[in-house]
Amino acid sequence: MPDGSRSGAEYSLRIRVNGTDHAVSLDPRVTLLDFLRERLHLTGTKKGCNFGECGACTLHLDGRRVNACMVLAVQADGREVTTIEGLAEADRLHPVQQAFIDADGFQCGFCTPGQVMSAVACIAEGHAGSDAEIREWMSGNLCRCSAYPQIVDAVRAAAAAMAGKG
Amino acid sequence: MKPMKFGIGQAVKRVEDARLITGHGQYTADYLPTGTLAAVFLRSPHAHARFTVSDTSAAKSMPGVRLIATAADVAHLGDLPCVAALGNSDGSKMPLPPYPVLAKDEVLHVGDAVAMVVAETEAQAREAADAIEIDWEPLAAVIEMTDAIAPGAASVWRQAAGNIAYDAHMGDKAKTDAAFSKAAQVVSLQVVNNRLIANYMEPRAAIGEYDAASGRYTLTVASQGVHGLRDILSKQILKVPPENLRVVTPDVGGGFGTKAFMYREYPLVLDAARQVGAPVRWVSDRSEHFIGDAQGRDNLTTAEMALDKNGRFLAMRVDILGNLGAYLSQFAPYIPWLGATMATGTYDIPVLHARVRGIYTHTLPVDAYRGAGRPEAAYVLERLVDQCARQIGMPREELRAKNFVKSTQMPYKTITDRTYDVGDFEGAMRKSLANAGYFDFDRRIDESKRRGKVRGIGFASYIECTAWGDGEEGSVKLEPDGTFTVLIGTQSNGQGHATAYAQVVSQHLDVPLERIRVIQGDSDRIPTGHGTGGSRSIPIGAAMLARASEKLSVQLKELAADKLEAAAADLEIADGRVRIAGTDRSISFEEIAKLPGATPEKLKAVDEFVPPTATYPNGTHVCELEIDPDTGVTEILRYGVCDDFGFTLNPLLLAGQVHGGVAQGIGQALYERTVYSEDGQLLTASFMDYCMPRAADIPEFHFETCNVPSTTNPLGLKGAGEAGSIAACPTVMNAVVDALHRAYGIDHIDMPATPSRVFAAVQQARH
Amino acid sequence: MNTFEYLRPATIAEAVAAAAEPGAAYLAAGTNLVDLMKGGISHPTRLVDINRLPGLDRLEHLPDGGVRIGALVRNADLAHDPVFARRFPAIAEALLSGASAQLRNAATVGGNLMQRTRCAYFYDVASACNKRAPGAGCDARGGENRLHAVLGWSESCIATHPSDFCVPLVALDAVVEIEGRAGRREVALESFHQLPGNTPERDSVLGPGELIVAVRLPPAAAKFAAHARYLKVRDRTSYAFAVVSAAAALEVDGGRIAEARLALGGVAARPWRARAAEKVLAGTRPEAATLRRAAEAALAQARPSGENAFKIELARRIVARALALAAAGTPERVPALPASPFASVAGAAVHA
Repeated sequence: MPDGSRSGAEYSLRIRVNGTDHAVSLDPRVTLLDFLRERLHLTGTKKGCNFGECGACTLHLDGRRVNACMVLAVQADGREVTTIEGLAEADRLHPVQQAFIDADGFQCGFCTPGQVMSAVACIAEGHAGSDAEIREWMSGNLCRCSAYPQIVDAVRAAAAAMAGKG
Repeated sequence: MKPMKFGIGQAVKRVEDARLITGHGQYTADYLPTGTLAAVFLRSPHAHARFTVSDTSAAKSMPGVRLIATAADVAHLGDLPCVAALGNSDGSKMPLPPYPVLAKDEVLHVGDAVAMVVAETEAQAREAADAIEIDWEPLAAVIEMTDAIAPGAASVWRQAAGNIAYDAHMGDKAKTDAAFSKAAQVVSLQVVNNRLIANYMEPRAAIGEYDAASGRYTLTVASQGVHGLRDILSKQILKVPPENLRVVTPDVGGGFGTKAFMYREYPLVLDAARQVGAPVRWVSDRSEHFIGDAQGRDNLTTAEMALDKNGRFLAMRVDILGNLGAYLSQFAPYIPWLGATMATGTYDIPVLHARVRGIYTHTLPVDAYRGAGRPEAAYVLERLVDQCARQIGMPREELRAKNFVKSTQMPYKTITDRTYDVGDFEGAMRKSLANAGYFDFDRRIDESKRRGKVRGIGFASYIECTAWGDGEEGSVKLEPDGTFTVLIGTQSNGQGHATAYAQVVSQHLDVPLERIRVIQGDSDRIPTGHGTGGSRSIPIGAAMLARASEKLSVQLKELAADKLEAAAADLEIADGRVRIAGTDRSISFEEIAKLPGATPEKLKAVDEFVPPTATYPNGTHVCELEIDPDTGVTEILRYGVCDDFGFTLNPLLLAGQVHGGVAQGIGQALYERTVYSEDGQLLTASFMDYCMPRAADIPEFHFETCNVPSTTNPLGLKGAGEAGSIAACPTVMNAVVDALHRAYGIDHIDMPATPSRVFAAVQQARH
Repeated sequence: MNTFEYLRPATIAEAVAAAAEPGAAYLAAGTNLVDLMKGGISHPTRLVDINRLPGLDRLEHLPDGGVRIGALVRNADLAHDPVFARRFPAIAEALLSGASAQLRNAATVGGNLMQRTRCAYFYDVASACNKRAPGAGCDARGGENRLHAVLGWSESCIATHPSDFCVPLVALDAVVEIEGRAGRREVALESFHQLPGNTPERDSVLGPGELIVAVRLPPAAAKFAAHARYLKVRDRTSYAFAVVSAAAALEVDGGRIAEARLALGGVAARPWRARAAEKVLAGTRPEAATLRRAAEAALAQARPSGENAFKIELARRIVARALALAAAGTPERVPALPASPFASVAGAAVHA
């Protein structure tokens, strides 16, 4: 039999997170989200629902936005993860982070890491062409403070800034 | 007051943002002390059942398990208190049934906590909880209020005959009956105010720690104020001296009223930490939020208006059934009553009778949620006024203008014994309607019709009460490095209080915001406090800090006067220095802090502000929308707000509060539906089943203020945290009903106006 | 979540052997399965992770004009494949109207077919549900059933299948390629999902260990590209399951409908092919009265399973509108709000 683990056993895997490799042994029930929060203490990725419905745990897996709560850590074996902590370069905020501040795109901040990671992907995917499009493509992220209009403003502004730059 | 660069009135960016945007916010669940154990709760699958815990031995011997507690193991802990008992109209006091930290022998709602399991990992604790053997004997459950008060209904509490927790009256029944008998016209309406689930994005969490050497407990908890929790834990539940208890609240991911209460998990993690000798952490997930936290609203209200032949309101009659759920949450009984005190809203209604009944059902407890009683009152009243206008054939705005309390009547005492200090209700309405193109609306109807849509416009004029009751004490202190530290016992839940408070300090001390540290949420560092709730933090907290900062500026000038050899009266504060006015002779705050006379007392100012009465924000919101009769889908085309918040401390923060409140109101009006099955299962216990608005559902807003400064506090402020959620439901629903009435003669539909409900209503009206 | 054995086979044969054991389940993206495991609804004792099986993530345009979609092709990749979206626009529109951008990046073609119902009683382990616990009864039958089935339901189960993707697929005669211990077999998607009858616990025709390896569209499926739409009514604008949906695909020749394809979603335990309506439409001009007659034919067998009679008329209207939109022609670009009844409004924003 190829790779595998017996019931209740731990499973060895390697995951690259924000540019750093981690070799760990895990119960296969552990989600990527819990692995990041509890094992690596990268708590910027939030658990808002644990069922893939709120988007607070959005991160980039091999460059694509996904809900970390719906991915078992073992599924991410050998893959590359970027979280909110890995977005800014040194002290310089990512343009999307700056745009969220400038547009007052959040209040309590709990959904914000997920919103930002989703917004970065939304722009990269080419889905920030109009306000209606931004609204639709940001609808995987709930914000109960309901900063939605400001989030749309932020994504629009960041998309423009990033297009201007490059 | 002169404008300062970072002072009050400025749209400064938030000091909180840099941390939060990089993922470095510190929320309760982000705190993981070494050796922390995980607590999980075994919750009832039944709405009503008797039970016995037959065996915990298998669970206890499972890997990693450190503690299992059932009711018998926590008998030393007091019950969760309800602090808002009401009097019945017959003069008796309402009985207060017990709300134990763990259910004993009988569970009263799905999710009622039966046992706590503490283990090394959450997965181990969950497996052990599943292994606890319980014999359940399901009993008949009552879920709907109308069923609960029907004869022969199953009983939630023996103490409450007919499941009526209280039956309270307000106003004068005889006078009201007399006024109705003489009325030219009577208009009545029955509306449901749907039950809501708070759904802050951060689920509740708590970490208990115990230091055996000192006998001190520390609770880290996502709350709306640490001092209230400390006092209840100390006096009523743990029964330990308050100095042996520290409560800390770090960043909070939204509360909306529902994180204010004492919940059972808090004493239990503390007690567990003492027993196992390690930190014990409980983190709720979304499913547990749905069946573990207090819920909101859930009223069934019948209201009637008596009018004279000219459309003047003569009297109002209100009958409120408020669902309290199975247990009395901390403030639960008061919420429907608070609504009744705002029953007459912006109108001059001379006679009123209100009956308010709190009802027990086998559902989750119901308590304060953003607005807490006031949205319910505004919804009933503004729907009723629109119904009056339709029934007597008078334009809605004219009927309102005719009956508004006039600004010349201020201060105005309502029949419910409230005193509105200031306000221009008609002015706000006229401005809001003009902004919305209200009088050109008819031109837009045809355009919708051509596309097969029906269009409606609606508005609501609301008033609410905020920032009443407890005062707030706090301090501003100059540190040796020239920075300032503010201590305050209100509690930001994400509103940006640290920014607003720093602006107030900056207004008086003219220092940049990054040189002002605002400390909240630690009962060891901050002597007293009353947390966030009732839109109180800014009107009370900022008012207090304005006085404290002013006081400190005087003290600092006095210290500087000696050094600069000038009279304190000749000194001014500018650019972070104290200067002899008109000269270049000055001294920095850092230097002042090091002066020999700079005693700790002189470097710190403490003040307290107790509001003399509530503040009364008000305004008019207008909504225009389109309904697709073939699908029942409603689309909001424009939403406009004209609000009176007295004084705008920070326009960015204010807009955020208003937008957020309106969005939650739109959620209640169009999307959010809490459904219990007949036997009490919560069927809408996920984000797929409980329909929260998302980015695609919330329109751009047009927001402006029409401030009339309040006379109740030094800055003229009125609370803004809840106003949006109060105005939005009647505004949106008046627009929905307007559209349906114009097209199909439908004059009533309940919230939420989901596509299927609207479609069904249109089908029925067509046949 | 219960403990389980985690296996990552290297070949399809190994996967099939591993999954044929009792208690085993395939794990693709897990966007539904992990959800069900967390909620205590599914308790597999062995997870067979198929994500790294070679070849299953390929999208092949076949020489005969058909297309073969590997079971592991992600929803987002399929919807954004420019050639695929141009040839099968209603499928792209359906994909983009489902779930969220994050989930579409993860969710797979095979997983979409295999997703379980969203019936709240199925998810609530304290409620009676014949699909979750055969013989337990059905609390939905006399309960909150506004969104439940109006076609093909039985006394034992009134749940619906939640997929958007499957609706245009079934309209276009998609075929499911299945690998099992006995080798490969093919099943028309229309017969892949089972109506509940007395065995609602069986969602599909798959036997133990059988694995979906691909979904194939026949060459004829591409002939509707100029007149194909998917339309969906939901309780909010985005990220919600359908109350009712319809996929309409027309071959229009000289102003007449040469051939019509129609399927409904959210109305039954399977994506519902409406062949009677297709017959009504064949050879006619797409005029309002004709579309309405087709809609009536599509729902002729419908009956409420509870408080959901409104869904029957709602479904007729959605069918008529989807047909009208399809007749008007596939839009140049997928609307910003795919499948929204509002997306057809003149002036609504569109994107590339």
